[in-house]
Amino acid sequence: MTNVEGRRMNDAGRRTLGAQVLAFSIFRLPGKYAALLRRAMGLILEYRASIVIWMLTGVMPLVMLAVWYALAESGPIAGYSQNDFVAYYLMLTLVRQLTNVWVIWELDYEIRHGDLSVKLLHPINPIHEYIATHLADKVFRLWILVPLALLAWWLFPDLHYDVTPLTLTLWLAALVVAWLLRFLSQYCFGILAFWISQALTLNEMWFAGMLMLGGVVAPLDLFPAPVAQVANYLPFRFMLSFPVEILLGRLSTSDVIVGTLTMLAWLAFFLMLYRWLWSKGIRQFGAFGA
Amino acid sequence: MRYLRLLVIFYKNSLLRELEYRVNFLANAFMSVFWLTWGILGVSVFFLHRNRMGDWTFPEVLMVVGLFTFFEGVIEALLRPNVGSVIEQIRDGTLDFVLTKPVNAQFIASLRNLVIWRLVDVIVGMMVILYGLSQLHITPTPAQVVFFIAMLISALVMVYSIWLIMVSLAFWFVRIDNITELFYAFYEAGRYPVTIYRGVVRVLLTFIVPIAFITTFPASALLGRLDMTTASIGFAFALGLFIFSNRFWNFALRYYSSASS
Repeated sequence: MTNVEGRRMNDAGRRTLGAQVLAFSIFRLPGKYAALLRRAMGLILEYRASIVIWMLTGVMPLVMLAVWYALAESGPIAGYSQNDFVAYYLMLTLVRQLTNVWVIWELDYEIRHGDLSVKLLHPINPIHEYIATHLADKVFRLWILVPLALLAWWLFPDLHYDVTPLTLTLWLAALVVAWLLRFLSQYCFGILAFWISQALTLNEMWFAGMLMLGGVVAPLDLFPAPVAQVANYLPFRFMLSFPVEILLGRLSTSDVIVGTLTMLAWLAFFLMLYRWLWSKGIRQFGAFGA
Repeated sequence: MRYLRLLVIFYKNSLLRELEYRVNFLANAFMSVFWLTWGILGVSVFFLHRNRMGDWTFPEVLMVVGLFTFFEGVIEALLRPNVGSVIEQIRDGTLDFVLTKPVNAQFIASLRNLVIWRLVDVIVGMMVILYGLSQLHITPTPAQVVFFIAMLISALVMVYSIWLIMVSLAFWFVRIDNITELFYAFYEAGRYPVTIYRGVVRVLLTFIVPIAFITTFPASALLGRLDMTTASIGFAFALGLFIFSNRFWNFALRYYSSASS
């Protein structure tokens, strides 16, 4: 790469840094987002067959449901009857489908192959392009999930969820934050690809942590008390389990308040981590070309 | 014999290529121990609340976990890299080079590459099986060991055949990468003995996606619990799947529109 190009890329880096300061002042974004979303929707629809297969790969909660369902045959386990397990894991499956994230594979690839430099020339921080594709994916998934959810409701009429306007609002908020946490944390691991070659491995461990302590292997109450107490404050819980817990109605009011505050604290933490890592990483990336 | 010699050459070549990425070895070794610990912790959660999983005690379930890890190693070392390269070759049209070689195309396409690091899983898996046995204070009889090895081989054949079918699908669907992920999603169910599953799920996992034959039944064989009927069904199934996958591969090959056409 010539020096001129290198410098241009550095400028682009700086420009995005500037843009980034404004990026979270959401007022500027809706117009751009509409355009990004329209493009992303086209992309997603083109790959609809792939996405249906990807959706099927999210069946692990259902495997765990099959296991717990069989184990609870001889009586409730720590207060979870067979029906409770069905309610828990169906909701967890839904939450997992709606919070699914894959940005690290794109980010890692684009950093290593240098494709990211093209994105840096766009007048918008690349994170918004990735967010748009993820949002479009969720819109597509909803099309498939809503009929399936209705079918499940019809098949299991005894499913009990604690549905009030308040819990529903909280659920929706927790769902959005769960997605943000999964997205931002994965994005942070992706940014590490600026420095290390094993960013995907680190992300794999993070994912394993989420499966274990985010409520997939077992509802968190089924872990030994000390483990469950620690897990209640770890980010994994807020990446999957928390929205489910809200609708299951097993949390006391103070649990919900403490949980919500912890969730918001983690969100703030990952937002700051992302901004810090990104500004460092982009300088590192510029240095390749200069 | 000629094929065996070719395999040696292939794998020496793969090894040399991979020695360039030694960090990968450390990362893989670490991850295989990591996922194994993860799997055992997961199983322990069940045993916090129940002392049996579908009639299997903890050390017995450990043997299933060991087999799960063992086959994960086989898949990652041998099957996934080859599937990946065949899919790429179909897309780029470079499969021509494989087809024009004076060797069976299926042989090259499915066994050419070996990611040697992933064999760590195979070794670690074996160690867990042995550990499970030692916890049970059982020494299997020679007959049980032979039985176990026979079941292991038939499981290997099944896994190989399933992956060959998935590769063959790539001749029609070029973007097939995630079909292999789909296999993994179902394979996840193989961490636990199949007796835990009820009804349709068990039938599905035994005869449609034969995961029971891969992780549960070899363990049963070693524990002396496998009856002759199930074993024979397993052998017949493995043979049938092998023949079918071979036919399917040859059939799919006809749909290959090489680079120039």
